[in-house]
Amino acid sequence: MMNVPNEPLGVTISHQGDVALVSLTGAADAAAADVLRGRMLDLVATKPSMIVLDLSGLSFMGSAALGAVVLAHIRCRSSEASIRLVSPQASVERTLAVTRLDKLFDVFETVDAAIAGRARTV
Amino acid sequence: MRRQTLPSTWDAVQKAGQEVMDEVTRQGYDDSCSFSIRLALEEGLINAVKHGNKMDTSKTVELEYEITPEQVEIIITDEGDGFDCCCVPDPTCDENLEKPSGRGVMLIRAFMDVVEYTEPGNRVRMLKRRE
Repeated sequence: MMNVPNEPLGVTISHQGDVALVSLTGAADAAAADVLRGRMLDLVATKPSMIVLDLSGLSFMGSAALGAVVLAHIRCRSSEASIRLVSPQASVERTLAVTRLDKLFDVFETVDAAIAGRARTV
Repeated sequence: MRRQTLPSTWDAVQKAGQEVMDEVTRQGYDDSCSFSIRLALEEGLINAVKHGNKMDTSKTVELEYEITPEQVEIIITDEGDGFDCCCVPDPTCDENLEKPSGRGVMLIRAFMDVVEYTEPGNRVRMLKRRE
């Protein structure tokens, strides 16, 4: 739905060894949440050691998309994998903060820092 | 105040929501304000269609809005039984953090300046002032 700007969700998945990199662009609104959920759960099923979710290109994230990431996090448990978030834009970062999902997920400044496990300093 | 009566389908409310956001953009609201309005509007419409009308396409959602240079007011009414907004589990509690759903109402409250539910809880009025 709507604006800020109104670009459809883009999901690009690549791999660095057994680490899966997921780059999100555009808007993760309710209409796109099913797509995000499906792509994330399919990825979890391949049992990567870690999923790094690059949010730097994401302009919008609603509760349905947040739920998709949380569901993927739960499914990761069986393979002891983790999901790490990278560089959310200010408004998305505020969404993570008010929902306290920034306590559930570690947030990093860069993809490299997320892979190395260096916690965000800002 | 503009008023639209919408069928309980995601396509219909999505299109109506887009019209609201187009007007918000025309009025020159900044990215932060637009994000807040978009988030609250989407969460409110989802709640009306999914939880209020339970996806029953014979029921409608009423969307009212007024957008001025100073503020955006949105009222969403569904035909459901309503709910007690005070009894919604807090999604930020540790025991609820890993639940995939249940964040919509708190996001509306967090991102809008005024949020009022009218009993029995099937009507929400939201206000965002220009920052």
